[in-house]
Amino acid sequence: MKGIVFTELFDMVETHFGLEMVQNIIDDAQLPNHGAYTKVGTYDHKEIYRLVGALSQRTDTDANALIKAFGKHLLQTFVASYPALFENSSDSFSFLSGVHDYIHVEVRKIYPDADLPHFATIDHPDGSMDMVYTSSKKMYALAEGLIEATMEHYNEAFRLDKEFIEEDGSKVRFTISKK
Amino acid sequence: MEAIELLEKKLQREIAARQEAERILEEKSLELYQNNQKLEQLNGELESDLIHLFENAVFGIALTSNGDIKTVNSKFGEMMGYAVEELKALTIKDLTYKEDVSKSYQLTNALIAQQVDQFELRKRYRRKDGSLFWAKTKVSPVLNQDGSTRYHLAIIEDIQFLVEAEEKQATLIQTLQSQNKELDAFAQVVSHDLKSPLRAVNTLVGWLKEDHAEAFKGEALEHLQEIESRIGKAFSLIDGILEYAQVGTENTETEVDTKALVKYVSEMIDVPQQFQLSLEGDFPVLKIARSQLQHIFQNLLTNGVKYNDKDVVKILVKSWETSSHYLFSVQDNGIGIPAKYFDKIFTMFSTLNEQTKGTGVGLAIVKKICEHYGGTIIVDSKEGQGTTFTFSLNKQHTKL
Ligand code: HEM
Repeated sequence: MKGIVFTELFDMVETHFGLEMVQNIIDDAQLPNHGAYTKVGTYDHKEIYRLVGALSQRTDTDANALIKAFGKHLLQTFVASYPALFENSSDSFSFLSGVHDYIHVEVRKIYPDADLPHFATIDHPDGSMDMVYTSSKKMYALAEGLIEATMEHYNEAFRLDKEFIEEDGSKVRFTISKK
Repeated sequence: MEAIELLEKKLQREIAARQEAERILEEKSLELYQNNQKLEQLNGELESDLIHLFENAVFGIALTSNGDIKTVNSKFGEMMGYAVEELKALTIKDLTYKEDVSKSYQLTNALIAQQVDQFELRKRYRRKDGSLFWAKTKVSPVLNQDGSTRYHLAIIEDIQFLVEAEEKQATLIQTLQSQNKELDAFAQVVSHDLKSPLRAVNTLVGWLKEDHAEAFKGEALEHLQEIESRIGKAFSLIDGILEYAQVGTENTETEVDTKALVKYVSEMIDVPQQFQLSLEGDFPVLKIARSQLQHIFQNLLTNGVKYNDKDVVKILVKSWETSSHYLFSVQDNGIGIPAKYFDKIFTMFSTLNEQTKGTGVGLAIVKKICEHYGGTIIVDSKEGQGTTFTFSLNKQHTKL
């Protein structure tokens, strides 16, 4: 997992729960590098689960709810860092359908070791769109947060349904309908 | 935990992270440097390959910019009789024969204006010693990354020998054409000159018969009639020779429906009371001089009827094709031809029968027409049972 995911997680935890919470979850998670992550590094993705697990226990909040919130936070940082990517698309659907074939492809060029999910998008005649998430990382909640934040970024009212194709969350269908 | 302690720990984390980042950065820089070196080496190899290609090309190669010569390969120097360095100081105009400058200019301008993406022209170059040679020049632009023109790449091929050969061929064809015309005229004159004395003899015989009817009786009259009939034959012989000479000179080729043509011919010729014509196979529509194909069928059908002793004259015409040829056969139930004459019948002035009904030119003409269309004709026959002529026409010459 790329270091940016860790540094952004710490950012979010610090803003919402304070620096002490950051230190606590680092201590709880017993990380090999004691939490010294750099954006350009690559780390074992299990460390992110351990950190989220620790945060979940300490805040008594569902881990997936935390990951989803993290997804929303991540999208805002993407908007701030890469505004052009968002300006290129006129609406949420055209942005989302370009994530797999365009954005993540560019991500991989910059970080050849990036471990990215697979997304398939399907347009329905009624105007809704399916986005099927597939990844052994089972971070569908992150995708959910990213999608919701994308809709909000484009100022579009929507409904988001999710259906587990694989029970363990390695394959999940999101159906987005604009209202 | 004290706030100061937390900050200290955060600071430690960030220092460690920075060191990690620097390590990664250094690693990546080294990787970049190595990749760059590899690229440079590859580039060098590519360049030497290109130079090798450039220098050893069998064509002259010139890179130009606005007509100025930037560089040329040694082959072009050799072609022009200049040293490569001398050429670099010249322009394309300096090397082009003055009459060809303007067309070369026009095309180059079209290329610069991007109206065309490349062009090819034949033009004459002027060597250092002033001599000229024809060359085929192909010019295309070499572009920069941003799409602007870096220079023009010209590939020059000496085609002097080709142009000379073409010129020779053209004169040859012209001579042949005028000779053909002369021959044609000659044939006309000869036939006219041959016919007039015959016509005179014919008239004289007519007068003898009319004015001295009492003197020519019995055997004498028969002899006169024989003379008249021989003269008639001589007339058709002369026409036949004229026709033979003209095979292939007529070139108005049209679409001809072969089935309809065979039927038409069978209605034109004299047939006996009891006559059966049958057609078998797929008759094609061809691109051919109608009169010539008609001549073939007319000749073969007439032969089938003429040399026939049966009560019911039967003729079967078949048509089929191979990958390269259209084939036709004309089969009769006539008297047949002995095998020893199979070749002879296609030569000029051969009639097998003493009480000849033909002139002996017909089949020679038929053969010549077949050969003109890339085919041939053969015969097969059993005496007393009948004859089959089979002829072919090449598709390349007759396909629509
Ligand atoms: C500007 C837009 C985006 C950028 C720059 C970006 C970049 C990245 C990066 C760098 C990673 C980490 C890869 C790794 O750790 O090896 C990642 C992971 C991921 N991205 Fe994106 N992403 C963008 C938009 C999105 C959107 C809109 C979605 C969802 C619809 C999405 C879904 C995911 C998910 C779910 C992961 C986690 C890996 C997994 O589940 O297998 N991304 N992305």
